[in-house]
Amino acid sequence: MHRFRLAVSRERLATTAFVFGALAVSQSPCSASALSAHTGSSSRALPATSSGWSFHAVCDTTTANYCSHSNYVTGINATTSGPYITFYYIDSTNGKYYSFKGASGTPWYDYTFTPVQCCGGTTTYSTVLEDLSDTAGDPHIVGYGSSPGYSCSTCGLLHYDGTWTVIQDPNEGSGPCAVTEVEGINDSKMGVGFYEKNKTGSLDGCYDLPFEFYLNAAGTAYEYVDMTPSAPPGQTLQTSEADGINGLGDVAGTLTTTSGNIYGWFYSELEYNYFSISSGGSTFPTYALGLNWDDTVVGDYTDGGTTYGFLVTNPEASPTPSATTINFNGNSNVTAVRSINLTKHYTSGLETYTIGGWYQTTATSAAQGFVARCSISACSPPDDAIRIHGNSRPRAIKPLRHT
Amino acid sequence: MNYPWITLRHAIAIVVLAITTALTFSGCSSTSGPTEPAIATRAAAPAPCTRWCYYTVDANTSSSQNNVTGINNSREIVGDYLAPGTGTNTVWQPYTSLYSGGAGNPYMSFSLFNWPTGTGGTYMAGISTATTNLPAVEVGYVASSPDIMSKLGPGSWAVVDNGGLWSAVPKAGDENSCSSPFAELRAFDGNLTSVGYRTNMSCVYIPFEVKNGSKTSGSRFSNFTWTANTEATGIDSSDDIVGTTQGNSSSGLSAGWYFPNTSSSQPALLRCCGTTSENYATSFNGIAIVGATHVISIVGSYTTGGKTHGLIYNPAETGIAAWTTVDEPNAHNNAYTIINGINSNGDICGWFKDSSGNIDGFVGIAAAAIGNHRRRHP
Repeated sequence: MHRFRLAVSRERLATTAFVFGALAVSQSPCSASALSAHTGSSSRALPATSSGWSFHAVCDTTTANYCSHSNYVTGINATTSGPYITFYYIDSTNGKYYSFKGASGTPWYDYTFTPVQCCGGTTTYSTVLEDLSDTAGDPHIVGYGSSPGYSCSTCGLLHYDGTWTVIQDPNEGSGPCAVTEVEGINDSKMGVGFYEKNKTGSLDGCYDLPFEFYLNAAGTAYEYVDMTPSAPPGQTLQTSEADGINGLGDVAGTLTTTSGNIYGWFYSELEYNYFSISSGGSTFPTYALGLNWDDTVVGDYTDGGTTYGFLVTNPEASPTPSATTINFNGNSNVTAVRSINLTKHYTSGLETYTIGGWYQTTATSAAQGFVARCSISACSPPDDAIRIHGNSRPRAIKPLRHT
Repeated sequence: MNYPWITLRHAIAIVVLAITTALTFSGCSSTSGPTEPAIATRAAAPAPCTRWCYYTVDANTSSSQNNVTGINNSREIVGDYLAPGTGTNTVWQPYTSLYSGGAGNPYMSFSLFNWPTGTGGTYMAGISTATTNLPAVEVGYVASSPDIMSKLGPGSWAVVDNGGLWSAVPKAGDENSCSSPFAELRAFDGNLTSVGYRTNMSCVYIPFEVKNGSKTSGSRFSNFTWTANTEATGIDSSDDIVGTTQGNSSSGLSAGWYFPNTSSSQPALLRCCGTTSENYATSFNGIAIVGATHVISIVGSYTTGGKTHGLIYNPAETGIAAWTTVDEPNAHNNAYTIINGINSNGDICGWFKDSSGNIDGFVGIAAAAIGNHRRRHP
């Protein structure tokens, strides 16, 4: 059941447990067996860890009750006066998800949170917000939620100006596979995510397919387009998600193969490219979760029992782009980077990355949302200037516009 | 008006017209001087199919301007019409239409599409043929989109629609030095390469090329030294490129240029109809390798004597350089026809001005294979 989502992140682990009533909030790391086909090992050297990040846990500046629960920063936009974030926590007493929009204060990482809980209620709906656009004032926010009253097991959600819209891919499956989740949105209100389909001949059968959606030309309905990343040569695709989209329409996501290998993928300029974080000839299970305007992709990778964040500036360089490792305060068991923006300071012209995600100090401690900032010059991979354009990338296959 | 029918009462007229066309179709040669070329199709409405069966394609019959901008080898077309926008503004609304075949106008059903939230309009200028790896891809630009401009700055910016997956093309770097910057894609070769034009830091139009997947651009035109506006407007399946330029004079009349894939040198200026004078302002808009004999066919328009005519140009390497004038049969007084696209069947598309002063789109479906030219690749 939802093997891919179980492997994707601790965030997903908890989500899946809730959706199917288990209400488990254990935040145990990805199992080694699920990643066995990759060559990661804790004894190997990892991509260089960038030391230029200034990390700030959300709960460093608040005493809110959610700090005792697992909480996550899932989206960050590029509002120049201070990036908004999406944030949620899981109430460990009832397993419900509570979501918020965070407004930047002074200092910039001092966030004030406003509940954004579908659909105006707090009792039946469990809402996870994943990303938000740069729309001034009231950004468009996407995510997903579940409620006994929904027609879908899990429904994609779009929130704007106080109105909730259900995003439900018309090709989603039935029963427990009636799932659509929205994971990212850009300024042009192009959203991405995944929907689930029923496996045939299996009692435990759902698999994920990435999609993009946006309002049609008449503005009367949403158009849904399948995305079609390919597995690396010699492997068979099992499941895939789209997790982030930038203003250019470029998309980052994650795929898993029937061999159990997990790769990030990147769509840009008509082509899909898969990639892995690698070091010293070793590759690691890689989850691409977000990207900014400049096609800088972030996510996490797992080496042994530790999960690290990463930043890649040339994701088109399949199969192993240059990367830097992001480790919350340098000593966390889990650092997952979910979102990244790119901002330029008004007067200094200094360009910075700001990221959002979550960390765990140990494998069993509660997840804590964080934001971090770094100048581009300090945190880009050292060989960023060398853009490798490999010839071995699988070409795009025909996307399908739903009818 | 449409002309898909050939009836008995037209039979004699067809024979006469065919003979006339055969006698005049070669047009003026490159040595014949600046004389207006023969008219391949100048039938009064209604008319039977001659070289092409013409169909008026107005995706929005209430619009004052309908353009058919591209046609692929499956005869699927892309085009745009002017639609009401915010306030008194009008914006471009793109569409695609599949060729339905059969009797009657084969383009009666239109699928509207748009850069999401492209409130300033979207203009799509070219469409490729679907392949194993890619669907029919449309290229063009999105105008004054607040979402795009918030990142790329003010202006219009090049976009690609890959079967519903929209992408904007990143800037090359110096566009913002121009006060009215833009980048526009005009054609896609169906594989990896798009061409178009953009402003440089001096606000001069320069051709650019996007190698999809490799994030490179511009290198193909590095030997172009023209200092005035230059556009790349068409690319064929062999990556031969055509375009239009004012050469070295911003006040000069335009000329076409043809840039074979084997060349790296700046091409010659080409003006209809083989003239070297500037009396014939010429624009090249599209190119295709046509028919079993692989005839390189370039389409566009030229203006002389106050009238703008469609043209087809076959470069010398296909045999003898040939210029052919094409006036859409409903073009009022044969005064205004633009051919914007051609496919490997020899089908053409574009727009013309009718007797009401409106601009109508058209498609000319080739009535017979185009031959009698030397094979380019023997």
